[in-house]
Amino acid sequence: MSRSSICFVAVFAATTLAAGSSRAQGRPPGVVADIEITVSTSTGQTYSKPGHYYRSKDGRTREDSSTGSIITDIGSGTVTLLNSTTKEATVISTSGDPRATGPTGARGAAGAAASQAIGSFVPFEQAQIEGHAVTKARANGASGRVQELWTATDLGLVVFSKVDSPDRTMTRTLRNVSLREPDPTVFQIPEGYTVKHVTGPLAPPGSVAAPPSPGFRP
Amino acid sequence: MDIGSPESVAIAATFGVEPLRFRWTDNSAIFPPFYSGIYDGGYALAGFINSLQLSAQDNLDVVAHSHGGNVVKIASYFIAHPIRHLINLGTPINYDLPLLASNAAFHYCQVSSYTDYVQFSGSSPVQVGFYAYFEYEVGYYTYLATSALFDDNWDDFWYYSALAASYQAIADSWWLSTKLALDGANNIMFYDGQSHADLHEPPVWNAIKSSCALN
Repeated sequence: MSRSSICFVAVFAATTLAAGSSRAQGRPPGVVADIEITVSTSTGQTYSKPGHYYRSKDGRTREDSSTGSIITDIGSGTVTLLNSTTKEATVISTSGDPRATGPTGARGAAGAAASQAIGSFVPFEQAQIEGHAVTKARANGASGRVQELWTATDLGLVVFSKVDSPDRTMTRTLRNVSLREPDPTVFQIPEGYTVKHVTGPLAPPGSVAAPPSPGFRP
Repeated sequence: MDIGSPESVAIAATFGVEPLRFRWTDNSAIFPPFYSGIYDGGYALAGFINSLQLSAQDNLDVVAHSHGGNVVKIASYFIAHPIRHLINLGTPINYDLPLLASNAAFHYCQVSSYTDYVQFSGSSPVQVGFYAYFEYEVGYYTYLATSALFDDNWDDFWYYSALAASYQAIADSWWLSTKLALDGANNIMFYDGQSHADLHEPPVWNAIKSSCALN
């Protein structure tokens, strides 16, 4: 068994998946999971940060990390950024964002550039883990960036992703995946938060896309 | 840092001498576009250090808190004596402010906590702005990926999921840009949820001594 497969078996080892579960057409199941994000730099340093992931059957998601939370809601068309330090919630309406077409539809220059930067995903392995079909796909993008996505297709869940850049590698792994509807309060803005409503898209503050390499020392 | 505080005691034990305290007086003027309190503090610190009239045999060690580290970086262009150890605790890496002068310090440690929001918020508007921008992009493409999933559109689901992952990596880079010094520092990062204030306490000081060549 390859190293990657062993790692992935560990992801599902503590799950409470119902045997032979499959999702209804267009209605992925609710999911609660732990996230581990690991970053490895070109100088050999590695660090990890934990998080949590929630998805409801009606299309809301929440991802928590040590730097904040992101809640998305396809019903209301909003993206909410939570800052637990400042107790601020920014609710961004996506209705004004013109990018709601995918690679199979017509896109403007920005979309074409993003597609070129990522490259096309080519499946390279099919795996069966805990009764779930996992498709592993890889894309070779511009500037030496390589991305991998492992998707449990019956759950509609990206269980592992990797972004390989020349100076660092970031992986995101779902662990302790549980198929159940999350507590609905996780998708609510906590009490005591200052709420700000804006209409997307947000404008970048400049033309630089990525900060310079930090020159990390081991 | 007051005389007799736990941090002061720990620093004194390391260097074998009670630290001299320098307080830059206008540490409320720390905001863009001019950061005038930081610049004035730098000039004042340089004057303070130069007034000590250190000889070539004297060792100058500097421990700075938060934006005090940026005060030191500005002072480094005007100090007549090299710094043996420079320890910056929770100093915001701010792209608007100068790097440490070349060869100003023999040993230079930048100590940060990954979750320190105060440090992050003390960086430049560009860094904070790009982090927020890419966090929105992560959320937006996650939203589109979920929409595609519910429409059984797998091509779009993968495409948008990839974009979300890609932008998450970029957002993380901007977050880290506020904590990782670019001017030759030994960057030390804590990942156990230490706050900005925790970086000024003995447990952190004792943890960094070996990495910062203070033993």
